[in-house]
Amino acid sequence: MTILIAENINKKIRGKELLKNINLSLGQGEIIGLIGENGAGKTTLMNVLLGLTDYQSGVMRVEGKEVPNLNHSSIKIGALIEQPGIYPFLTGYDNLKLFHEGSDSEEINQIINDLNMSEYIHKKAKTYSLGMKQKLGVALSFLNHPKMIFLDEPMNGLDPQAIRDVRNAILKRADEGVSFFISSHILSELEKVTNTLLILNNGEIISETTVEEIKKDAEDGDLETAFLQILDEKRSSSGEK
Amino acid sequence: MGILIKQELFKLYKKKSTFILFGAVTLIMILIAITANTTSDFFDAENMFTSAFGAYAWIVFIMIIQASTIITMEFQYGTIKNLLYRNYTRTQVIISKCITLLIYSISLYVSTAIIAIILKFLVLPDLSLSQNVNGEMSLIQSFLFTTLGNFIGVWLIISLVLLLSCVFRNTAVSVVIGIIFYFATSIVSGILFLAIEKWEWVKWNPFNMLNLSNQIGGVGDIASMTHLSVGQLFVGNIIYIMIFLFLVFVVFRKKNV
Ligand SMILES: Nc1ncnc2c1ncn2[C@@H]1O[C@H](COP(=O)(O)OP(=O)(O)O)[C@@H](O)[C@H]1O
Ligand SMILES: [Mg+2]
Repeated sequence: MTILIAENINKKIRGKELLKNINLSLGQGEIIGLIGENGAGKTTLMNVLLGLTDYQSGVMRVEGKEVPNLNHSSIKIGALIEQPGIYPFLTGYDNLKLFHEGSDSEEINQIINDLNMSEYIHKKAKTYSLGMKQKLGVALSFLNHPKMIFLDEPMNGLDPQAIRDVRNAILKRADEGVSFFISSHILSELEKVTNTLLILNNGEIISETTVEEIKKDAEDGDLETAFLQILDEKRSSSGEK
Repeated sequence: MGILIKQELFKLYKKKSTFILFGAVTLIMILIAITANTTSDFFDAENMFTSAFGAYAWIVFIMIIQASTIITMEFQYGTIKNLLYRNYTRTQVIISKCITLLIYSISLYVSTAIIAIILKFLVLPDLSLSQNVNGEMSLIQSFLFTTLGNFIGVWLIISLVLLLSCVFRNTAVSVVIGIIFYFATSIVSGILFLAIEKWEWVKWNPFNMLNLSNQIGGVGDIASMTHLSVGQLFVGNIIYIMIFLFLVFVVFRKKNV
């Protein structure tokens, strides 16, 4: 079942095209990796899909229903876009509690456990390290049993153990039917959570592919090199900009 | 919507500044009350009480700061995205913030008024609440009307501050302009009143509206300069507040975050 469909989305700011003819669809329980270099438009695309920023043309549908520009759908959504949004004067726990709907704290505790945050969750968020804040941002996106979760470079600033915790938490939720849209500029990070990839370059989806395919093409087996090669090919074929 | 308001109140409750600012105002009231008591020939006791021992001048600043930060804080901390992608509409988010400010401002005025009345009994026991002031009202009536006038004047200012905060997302800008707007009334009043003499319609400008509490308090003969009755000032204030708040909704709904 398809949850999200975007058709021909175009976004311009002051004459600059940030997104060009974006088409994508996300199925239930599916994880799509969005890969692109810095400035490719990953954050902009997520903002558009979340109704946080507007677009000039195109259509977006969630569960078949059209979602108007600058609005969001009525289904439960979770998101972490760029920096985590955290109130520094609250504890990590209170940040979670603030956005938690319903009265049982079971879900909050489950998320804290999944992400191994119990050690510092009752400390004020302003005392957190970059990685701890990032994890709290991920935790916030998991709240209230969302059907669809957007994670924009979620592994930013995380140590190897934290990366593993976040990855496992993502996979567990995907197994339960949650759909994910995850961006990164590092392919090897995405590789461990998904096979399905969209390559974004200059605001354009230049390739819908899989990790396997990229691996097949890779001459020396190095994913990042193969990815850069795809970008190079695309650039030379589009007349070397 | 109830949940959103509860969330806003929770944030307000957890912010230290909320209580520090209130505590500071209470302290200033007590200090002024004590000074008024010991140097009673210097202060006008009636005025002292109807201005809540100076508190109403300070509440303006508190409300300007709170109105600004309730919006700009979300941009500063990046939490605006969390607020907007969740199950509520933008209109609900901004209305919940306005309602929270309303609740906060009412609590602030009510508690300040109560403290002022208690202080009156403690340090100005000779002053009777039912005694006549400026020939028309009793002291307590004058006090309550001044409070109401102040409250409405503050809302005129903070509705503008809310609008500026939505547009600029910057605490400093909206606080500074809000404070300038507040002081401008007294600074430009000379020019303003001259202009009103010359062009009658100028009396409807928002700066003139800020004279509401002065006119209620009967400071000098302001009515002859504002060219408006208390009732007209009251309605004028409400209309400007509605216009500013309406613009807040319009801007907030269209904002790219
Ligand atoms: N508000 C904005 N105004 C103008 N340009 C913008 C704005 N936001 C993003 N951009 C530009 O859009 C491009 C894509 O940015 P972004 O989506 O943040 O990329 P990514 O997340 O892939 O690194 C960049 O060139 C950036 O400079
Ligand atoms: Mg980005």
